[in-house]
Formats: sequence, structure tokens, C-alpha cells
Amino acid sequence: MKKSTIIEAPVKVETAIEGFDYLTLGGLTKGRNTLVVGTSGSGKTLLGVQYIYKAITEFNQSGIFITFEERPEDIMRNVFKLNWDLNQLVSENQLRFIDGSPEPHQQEEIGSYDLSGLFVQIEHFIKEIDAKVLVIDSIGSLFTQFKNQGVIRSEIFRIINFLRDLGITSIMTAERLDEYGPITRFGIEEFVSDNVIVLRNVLDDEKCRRTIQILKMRGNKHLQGEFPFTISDEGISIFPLASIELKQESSLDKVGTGNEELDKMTHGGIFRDSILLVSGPTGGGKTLMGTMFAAESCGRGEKVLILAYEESREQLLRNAQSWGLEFKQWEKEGLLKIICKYPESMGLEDHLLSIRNAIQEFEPKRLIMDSVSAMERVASVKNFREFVIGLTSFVKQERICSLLTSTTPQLSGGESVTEAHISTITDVIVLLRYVELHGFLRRGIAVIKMRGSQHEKQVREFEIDHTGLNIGKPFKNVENIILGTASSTSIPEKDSLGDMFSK
Amino acid sequence: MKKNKYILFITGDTELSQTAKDSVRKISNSYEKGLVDIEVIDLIEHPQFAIEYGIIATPILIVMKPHTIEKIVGSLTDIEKVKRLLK
Repeated sequence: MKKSTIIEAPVKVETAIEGFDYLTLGGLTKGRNTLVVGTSGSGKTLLGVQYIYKAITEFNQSGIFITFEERPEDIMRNVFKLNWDLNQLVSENQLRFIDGSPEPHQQEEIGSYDLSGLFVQIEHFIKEIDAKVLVIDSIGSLFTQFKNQGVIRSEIFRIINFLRDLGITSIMTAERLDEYGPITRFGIEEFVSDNVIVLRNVLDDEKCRRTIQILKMRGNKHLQGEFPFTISDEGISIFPLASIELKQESSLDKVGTGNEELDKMTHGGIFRDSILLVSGPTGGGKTLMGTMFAAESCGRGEKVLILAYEESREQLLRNAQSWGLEFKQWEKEGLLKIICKYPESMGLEDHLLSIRNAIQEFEPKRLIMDSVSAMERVASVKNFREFVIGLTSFVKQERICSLLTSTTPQLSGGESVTEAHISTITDVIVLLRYVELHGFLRRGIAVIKMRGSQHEKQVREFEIDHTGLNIGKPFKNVENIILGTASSTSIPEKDSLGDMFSK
Repeated sequence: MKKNKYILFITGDTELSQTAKDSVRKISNSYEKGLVDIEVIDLIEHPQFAIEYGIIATPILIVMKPHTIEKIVGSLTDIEKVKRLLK
């Protein structure tokens, strides 16, 4: 009887690895093998372990992990710190290891052989635990353990066909020597080339940067390009930053900024789902604006999260107290949470992940980040841009009204890297600037952008005193206050002095 | 030569299995009777041994010495070479 072939379109299965399913537009190809390549230390083994762990714990699919490199005990120990108890999964008959790690001494080879012993083990475990997923880590080690490369090649091919016939979804890892060189050392991608994923760990501007790229997924769509990922205590998390959809509805509900005059300048405050950027030189009142914004939120009983990268907790608390704000009390009441971190303490991907975790845990209504520009110094421009986009799209998705501060490079202003990347993403931009007029250093404030609403276009003078940030009258007869060098228009000085802040 | 335990693991009735069985028979016969008895086990019938000994490649000859286990992978066609290793 002739066997009929049913041709089916490839189906995807979710992996529950953060970001992975989005990147692959649905997960791995069901019943097929995916080759994961990367240099040593690029996260291949972890991706494999995470895939199998999630398949078991999230989707109740038993799995087999074949290791040709590390011993099963070492793998279990390595991920135990992520609270992944593989040993328990083994005892619950949901996971099996096949130990193909190298023997202490090279075994002798006399005559010909194949990998039927491995097949016996795979078949036995598939039956025993009804396995649906399988990981092989890594193929390269097989080539070093056995001398007959031709046999290994054809046996890998046989394994992949065997798994496909059984409908088992699998990941196979392989090493490569260069981040941007040949796909694998042994050219195996040529015959297992349906799906290829590349993990990279590259030095970018002296910072390590991990990325993942879906090279191909035959018969399936996926996102193109390299996407950053991080390895944290939750395993691998991928951020498909540039493509997070802004699908939230916009809100017409406005919230106060914590400053009555600024509320007037913005015609009633800022939209609840918007991002406010406060740009100013050092000592220009940015942190104070953030503090007032936090106070406004707490005063309404809305939770607020402060991420401070320039000042310590003690400094923040002391300053708040000097403005008469009881931050400590609000903290006790669970309205306020302050997280202080050195930008240098970790990479930007890890910062982003920890911010997201803090937001998910604390569920604030508002967020203050002081300052975003502090992050510039720990990353390359590209990396920083991804961070800013990732952060802003996340807070927008979560509908958290956010105030971000940015320090300008010069006292008189000037555009910082932060602003170049962030200004198109933010909804409201407030500039704080020093203005030199007639030999006096004064402070000016202006709202230069407000999406979806009218706002005052005038530049106002403000002062900082013990009561906070007091916004006064608009400057008059002065030009280029904010966007250049201030100069008074041709009005006699006697008049201009009296007239400058006329009512 | 001390008396060790020898097991040849094969997988099913294949050409490789047959060649390996022929090889071990020749090896056994070349020694004094009873000195090198090689047991033959088919892993397809007894998969637990594949797991126990971590067997990936077959055929494989396992030599159990008092303190160590030695493995020789392959159909063992070079009988003299095998015998040198068994010493």
C-alpha cells in the first residue's frame, strides 16, 4: 500500500520564554528541530534548559535533555539558583537526562559504529515519560568525542528525522567561533537548516551585549534583526523593544504635576498615560519637580515608584523632609517606594528588567526616574536608545504616568543624547534653564511640547526656596531665553528692568 | 592476565552487530578457554543497560576491571588492536 503524505503548514508552539514567542511570532515550530548557535558563554545551554523547564512547568509537556557537554548534575546545579528544581521534575517523571558528557579519557574506536545506543535511550525515555520536547546540548561536543565525523553528521541527520517522525519539538545547540563568522563550526546547519537561531555576546563600546536573532524559520514568519536579551534570576528574557505595540487607549484624564502654576501652564496637568520629560542643567530643579510630582501622587493615595540614579535614599528623604514632605510616612503606608541604584551596577538590559519587575510587583500609578541621562554613561548610544524605548513603551503599556528627568550637558541647556532619543517618545517636555540677564543668573521654565493638549507658550521665571519651586511671571522683552543666548530687545534698560516681569 | 568481565553491547540484528559479534568470538577464541568470556547484550531488548552505562555509540565493548571500566567503541574489526588494549 502506498503511504500517503499529508502536507501540513508548520504550526508553532509557545515556549513561555519571555519575549521569545513574540520574536518568533508564536514560538518554536511544532514537531521540528531548531538549531541554536552561539559562541561559548552565549547562553545556549540556558536557553535549552529554560525551554524544557517551561515546557514541563507551563505546558505540562514532558521532556528529554541530552547533554554532550556538561554533566547532568552540573546543569541541575547551575539552574537551581534560578529556583528551577530539575531534580524534582525527574522524580515526577516529567524530565529525563541522557548523559553523553565526555568520559574522563578518550574512548578507543576500533572499526565502525553508529549512535544507536543514543537512539535506544531516547526511545526508551519517550515511551517512559511520554516526552513531547527534547533538547540536545551541544552537537559540537559530539564531534570532539567521536573521531568519525561522517558518522556523526549522518547520525545527527537521523536523529532529527526520527524526532520529526514522532512529532517531537526539539532544540539542538551548536557552537561557533566568531560572533559574525560561519554559522557553526561543523557546517551542520546545512542539513538541519529549517530553523536557525543565533545567540551573541558581543562587546559593544566596552559593554557586553547579548542579542538573539532568528536567522530563519522555514515556512513561518518571524521578526528580523538582533534583539537584546538578558540573563537574570528568571533566566533568559528577550526584549523585542522596537516592536512593542502602543495599543493602549489614550486617556483624557489629567493628573496634577505637583505644582499649581505648572498645572496652569499645561492647562490642567498632564494626561494620565503620558510621559513627562523634565530637562535641565545640574541643580536646575529637576529632582525637586520629581519630588513634588511624587508628593502629589501620594497626596491622592496613588502609589508612586521613584527610581533614583543620582542621589542616595538618605539624600532624597532628607531633601523631601526639608520641603515638608513626609516620604518616610508614605513609604510606611506603602504609597511610596524608592529604589536607588548606581547606573554602573548592571547592564541596561538588567536595569530594564529590574525596573519592570519592580513595577509589576509594586503596581505604581506613577513613576519617577531621576535621571534617565545617568544611564547614558553606562551604555553605547544604540544600547541606550533601546533602553529608553523599552522603558517608555513598557510604562505606556502599563499606563503609568511617568516623569523622567534629563540633565543637560551645559548650564544654559544644550541637547543631550537622552533628549535626542527620548523627545519623540515623550508626550510633554518641560525645560528648566538658567538665564543670564543683566548680570543676574535667573531661572526660566517653559513647556515646549504637549501632545494632545494646549499649553502655555511663554517662558516663565521661577525660583526655588524653602517652599519649593515657585513659578512666577513670564519673561518679557527678552528673546532666545531657552533656545539660545538670552538678549533683551531694544528697549531702554531703565524700562526693561521695571518692565521685565510686568503684570 | 587477570580475569575481567567483558560485555559487548549491540543494538538489534544489524550488520554492525553481526560484525562485532564475529570479532568478539574471534578474540575469545584466541585466548585460553574461559579467560576472556565476552557476554553479548542487545540494548534494544535491555535498554536499561544503555542508561546505566551511558551508552551513546554502538557496538561497544565494556571491560569491567576491579576499579575501572574501559570502553572500546566500534565493530572491533582490528582484532590485534583490541587484544593490545585488553592487556
